[in-house]
Amino acid sequence: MSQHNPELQPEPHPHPQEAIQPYAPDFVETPDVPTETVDHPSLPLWIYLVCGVALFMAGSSFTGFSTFGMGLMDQGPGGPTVAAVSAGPAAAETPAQVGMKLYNGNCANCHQRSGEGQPGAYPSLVGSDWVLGSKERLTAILLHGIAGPLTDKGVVYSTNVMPEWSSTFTDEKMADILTYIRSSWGNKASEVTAAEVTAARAKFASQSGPYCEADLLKIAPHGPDPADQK
Amino acid sequence: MSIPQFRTFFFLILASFLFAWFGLVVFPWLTVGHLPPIQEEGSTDIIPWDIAGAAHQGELVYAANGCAYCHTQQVRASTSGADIIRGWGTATDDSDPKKEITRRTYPRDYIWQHQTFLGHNRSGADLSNLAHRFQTAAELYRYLYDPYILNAHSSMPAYRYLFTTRRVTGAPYEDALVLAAADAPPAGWEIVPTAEGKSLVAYLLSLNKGYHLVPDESGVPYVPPSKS
Amino acid sequence: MATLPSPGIADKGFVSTNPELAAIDASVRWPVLICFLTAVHWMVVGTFLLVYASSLTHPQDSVPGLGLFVDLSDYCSFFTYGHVWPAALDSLVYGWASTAGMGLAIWLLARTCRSLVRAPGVLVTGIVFWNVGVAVGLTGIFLGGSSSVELLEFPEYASWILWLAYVLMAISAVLTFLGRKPGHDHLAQSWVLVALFAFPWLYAAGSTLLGTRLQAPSSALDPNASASWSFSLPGSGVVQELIGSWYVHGIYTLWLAPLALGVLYYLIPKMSGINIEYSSKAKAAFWSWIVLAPWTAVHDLVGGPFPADTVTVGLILSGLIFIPVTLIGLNLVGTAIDGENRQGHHGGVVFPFLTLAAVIFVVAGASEQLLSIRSINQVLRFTMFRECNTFLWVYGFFSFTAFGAMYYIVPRLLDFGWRSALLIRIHYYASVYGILLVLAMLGFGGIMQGFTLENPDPRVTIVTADEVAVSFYIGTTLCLSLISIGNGIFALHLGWMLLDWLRQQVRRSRLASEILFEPYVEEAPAKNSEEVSV
Repeated sequence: MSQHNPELQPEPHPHPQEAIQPYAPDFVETPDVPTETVDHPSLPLWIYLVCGVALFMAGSSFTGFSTFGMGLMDQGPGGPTVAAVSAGPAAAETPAQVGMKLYNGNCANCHQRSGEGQPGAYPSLVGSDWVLGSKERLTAILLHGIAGPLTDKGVVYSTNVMPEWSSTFTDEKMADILTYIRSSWGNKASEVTAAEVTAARAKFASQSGPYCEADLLKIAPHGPDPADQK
Repeated sequence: MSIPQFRTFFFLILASFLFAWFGLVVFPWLTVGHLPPIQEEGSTDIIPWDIAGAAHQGELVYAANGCAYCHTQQVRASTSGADIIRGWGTATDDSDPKKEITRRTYPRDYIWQHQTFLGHNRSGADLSNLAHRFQTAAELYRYLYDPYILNAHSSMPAYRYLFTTRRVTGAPYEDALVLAAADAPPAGWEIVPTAEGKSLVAYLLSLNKGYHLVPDESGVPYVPPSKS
Repeated sequence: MATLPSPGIADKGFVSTNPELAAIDASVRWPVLICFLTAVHWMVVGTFLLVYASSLTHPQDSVPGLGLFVDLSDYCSFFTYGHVWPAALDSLVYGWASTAGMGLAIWLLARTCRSLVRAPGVLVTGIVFWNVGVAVGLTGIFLGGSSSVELLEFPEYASWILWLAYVLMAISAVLTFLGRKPGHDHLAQSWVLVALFAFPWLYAAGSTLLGTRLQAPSSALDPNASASWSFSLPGSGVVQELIGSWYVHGIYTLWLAPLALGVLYYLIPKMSGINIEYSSKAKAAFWSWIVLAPWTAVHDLVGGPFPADTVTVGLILSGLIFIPVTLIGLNLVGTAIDGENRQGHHGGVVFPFLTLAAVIFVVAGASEQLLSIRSINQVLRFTMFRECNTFLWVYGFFSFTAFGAMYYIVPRLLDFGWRSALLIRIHYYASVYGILLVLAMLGFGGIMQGFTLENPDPRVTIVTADEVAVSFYIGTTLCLSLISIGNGIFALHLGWMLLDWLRQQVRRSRLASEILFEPYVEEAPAKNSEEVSV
């Protein structure tokens, strides 16, 4: 019946230029398991070579690392290093050593472990007038932070705010950090003691919010600390 | 496949599944699934310390906000990674806040956590000993509110929805944020953490592994040499 | 001899020329079509979320206009990476891959068993529930109910719906298999059965051991409920992480990969006209894969606080994964290449997708092999290389198989052709270059990031690693956008085809009713349809 009705004939493709060219495997129902085969008597040689190399690698990881045994935790090559772990806390550390750890944990995010800062954003501490100058002024920066642009050796750092650290660190820890940055990366200036930080904390207690550059220069102009001049 | 063949097939599949199930789940569950805390000789303290209730609530906030997709909480031994060199294994000593303890983490470190977040990705830093690097809640609040204060190009989002701005009534709130002038709220207003923010920070401050554990985890209490 | 549809004809001659297979295709038409349509819908949702999540990993000043979204994410939890990334991954794995895989499994079982689909009503109910479960789960993640356990982020209430839905779908699939005609065994059946048995075990164990909480997060934050906020997971501490790794790798290697391999073992020899090469090794490949592949879970555990025995045994076993990967590669890629050469013609619509899927299977297997080497794993363990691996399994291997199979299956179900060769070509090349770029960006980027993180210089910090990674993250967003163009075109093409098909059906049924009610006169010319149409 439908042969007589042109409406029931297949539609021509709406976009003949995009028509999909008929490709036999896409349309013809071929057998699920074709009878034709490509003859391969055995696996090719390179497969055995690859397998050999891989087995060798698996074996070497097994011999180089053999922490078997109930209760051992995965450790990596070399097995448990009992001696290293049970050495316990080290002997008393110098202020600069304590300062280095505090610095790396708290300050290095901006000023970098190398003390070099980031151009334009975070001032370099290496050879800086602010670091090597007045100890009192440097302590004031750490206590209350800085806002606004800061010039150091002709370079302007303008983008970021340094937070205050007075609520974070004790006077001892602050002294250790300041001693560390004044004596590292080629910096050579006198150490800062906890008593000096305590005195500065009392002296600048009235300051609220961060300093700007002009305020800091009022505390002390550039130039070496009196302790270093002697 | 006939029915007997199918039965054999089914049992072989079952056996293959059981093999991995035993090795990856049952065996670890038997060995490290029920570790008790250990007690030092002559002391009533247990190691590790239990976690406060607020910190357990913080675990749920940590999970809901997907922190674990960028942060890990595991420190590998120095023989199998540079985690110790990155400083992630350094904790504040529980018995003396001036001292530090640097070590890898062990299963016993996690026994009090209701849900563990060991993580698979270090887009951010490892948080095993976060409380050593951020010692007060105020620092963490400030960092969560504005992570760019420490790293201007940080890819960490600012979690400002964990804070709310409200009018100061009576004395200023003790946990209110102290911000630089540009970010500070108008006079008479303060920015304070929400309940979720507070429990998250309580959890983060509990992340400090400042005690010694025996390296082989065989359950013998370890006494630090300095105690004698 | 079957006749090919002539190139100008788009709506006839696609149904199978084997009447038995044509009847089977007709019986699975609606369940399989619903599976494919909903799966493609989740693919579009998941791809969109993935591109957005990827763009959140850049610093906000790197891409113009991104700052707006970053600002949004500051104030609203919906838009943060921690919500979007799990939603994207889950909608790809559960919404797209699992739903499409279920449709493929039903079609494959019915065909290879020469059995009409059993209990189609139960099957369709299951598919509907499955989609409801995925939708509920994604909503739950955005509302803050995510558990942060990879691939088990859906809140508990959603996992119960998914579980029920799976049981309904599997009942129909197993009944279809049991109704098979004697003598119709095919290796593809074994692969599909493994997947059908593996998923309930994985999902039941995973969702009850890791996804269950006694108290929902919102009530946990209620101070009045403080006495009962605790939830318990079995075993304390790190066992959860071991179960989690077992689950994630189980989903990739025992659920999604076997479904796709079943399709490839059926279609590649059928279309290339030669039997599987090295077919005597196909069984060995099958068994070695299901024994060894789940042990790739230890790639997420190396060096961590886990029992040394599990990690060491796991690394050795997953290090043997080259055995099944090589054998399956020889079976599939070898057959595909030799078949094309033998027939002397290349191209068509379906075959390039299937060949590429088989090649990506070998690449993904090779990357698992790399991760099983301890010193390499140590470097790549916490980097974006892991995402590269995930994308290779889900986006590369599984999706390419599913695309090829859909290009093959849908015309046979509808007796209606795809609309445009051009769109298929764009889809193919966008996908190929997209997945190659993912390899280049996430794979190579992971290596760079890993070497930075493992740098023995103590001055290197996480900030340094972040700076190394960021350009690769931007590249990843670009190639994910390329993939999303391809996927979007596929979705549009499917929609266009269905619309045209519906229009044709309406026209035909109208004409049929006309013929029924109008007396047929031999001499009279056929009526013009415009005159009677309303």
